[in-house]
Parts: sequence; C-alpha cells; structure tokens
Amino acid sequence: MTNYWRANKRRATVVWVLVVGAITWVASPAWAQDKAGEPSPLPGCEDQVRSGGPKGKQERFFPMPLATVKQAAIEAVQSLEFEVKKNTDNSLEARKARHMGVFVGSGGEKVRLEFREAEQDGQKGTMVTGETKKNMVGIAGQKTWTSAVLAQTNCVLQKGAQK
Amino acid sequence: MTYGYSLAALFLAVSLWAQRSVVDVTGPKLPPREKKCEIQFFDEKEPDTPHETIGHIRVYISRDKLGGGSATPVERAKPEFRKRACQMGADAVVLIQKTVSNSGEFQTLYVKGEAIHFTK
Repeated sequence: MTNYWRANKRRATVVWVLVVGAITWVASPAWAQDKAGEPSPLPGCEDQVRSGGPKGKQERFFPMPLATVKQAAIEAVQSLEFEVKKNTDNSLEARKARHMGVFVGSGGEKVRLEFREAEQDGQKGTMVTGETKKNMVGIAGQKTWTSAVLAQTNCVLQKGAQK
Repeated sequence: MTYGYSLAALFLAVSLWAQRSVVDVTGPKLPPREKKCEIQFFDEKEPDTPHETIGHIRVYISRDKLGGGSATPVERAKPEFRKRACQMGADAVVLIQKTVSNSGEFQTLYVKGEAIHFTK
C-alpha cells in the first residue's frame, strides 16, 4: 500500500514538473525561438510578430490615403492569420484562425479597425482606430492583436513605399 | 486501448503541425498543369522574362512550439506553392512576403506568393 502511494506521488510530481516546464517554455520567448533558418523580415518590420500590448482601443496615424492604408491593413491581418469577415468603406473586421493546442490552443480573436481621413502636423493621411475582441470559447489562449496589426500595417506600407 | 492511443497520437500530430493555403485568382484563368509540374521560385524580385500575374497564393504553416524543433523554414512552404501553382496553370511563383507570428504555444509562418505565367 505504501509503495502504491509512493508511486502515485512520484507520478504526480513528474506530471507537475512537465506541466510547469511546458508553460514556462511557452511563456518565455527566448526559449521558444530558434532563429536559425527563419525568413528575413520585411523592411521596417519586427523579426517576429507577437501578440500582446495595451488592451482597449488604439489609434495610429499613417500619412497615406485611406484606400492605401486600408489595403495595407487587409494584407497585415491576412499575414497574421486573420480572415476578413466584414469589409466596408471605412471599417474592417477580421477573425483569427483557431488552433487546437496541447494546453490552451489559440485563435478566435476578432480585430475591428476603423479608418477616417485625418490631418496631423499639417500632413494629410488616415487615422486608424483598432480594437481586439475576445470571445468566451477558448478565451484562455486568446491575445490582444491590435498593436501587432497596426505595426504590421506600417511595415506593409513601408514596403510599398520602397517599391 | 490501442485504438485510444492511436487516436491520441493522431490528435497530437494534427495539433502540432497544421498547414493551409488560400488562392486569389486575379488574372486570366489557365488550364491546370500536371500534378507535380515544374515551378520556378523567385525571391521578392520578378523575373525579366515577359509574364502575366495569374493570382496570389497564401500559405500558412503553424506549429505547436511544445513539439520542439526549430522555426519553420520557407522551404517547407514550397511544396504547397508548387501544388497550388500547378492547379492554376502557373509557370513560376514570386515569393513577396514572409511573416512569422507567435501566439501562445503556436508559431505561424506566413508566406505570400504571386503566381505568374510566362507569356513568351
């Protein structure tokens, strides 16, 4: 009987160590990345795009016409594995593809972007307001993508400007 | 019991690696070529040979980082590009955008390519 409890305790400890190790590994970007063999990023872009950043609405000004900025935003959301669900003259709504994971999985977040013509420091352009909405299904694995989408839009625009 | 283990292994394999692609046809509709046709790849720069753009191919390869291993190289996306380009009747693919994104335990490699047809 004592042996049975001892074996069970040992098994529980092994499982606990494995779970904690796996969670720490995912949470630590330095461990999870292996930069060898990765593609080179777009000019002006981050090496790797990560979710996260401030919650709630975010605004960013781009000194480009509305149509150009909106097209860049579509390319940006597509590159982050979002599918455009609604596309009007002044707004976009896209949903991230879901992945079933070993622990929590990911995806299902909705990003909504609104575009309006604006002027900043005497320069005409487009103001983009973005927000990420999470839903109840799989919320544990859902992240805020607004910052990543706006940064990616910027690098798509920079690439376009270099052509 | 064996059935249960096989099912669990299959689930694990599917959840560790996932690949999908999307095709947007924007140019002329051409007849498909044979399944494993020869496709040339160009990195960012279009070839000088006269050509027309048939459409765009977007390939997504996601991996669960818990499965270990290194990041997905672009080479891994090429068979999917080849398959889709042959279906579209293209001669070559110009790889125009690459993005690596991270979310929780998943890392996704996105590669966008322009399917082209040589006109001469």
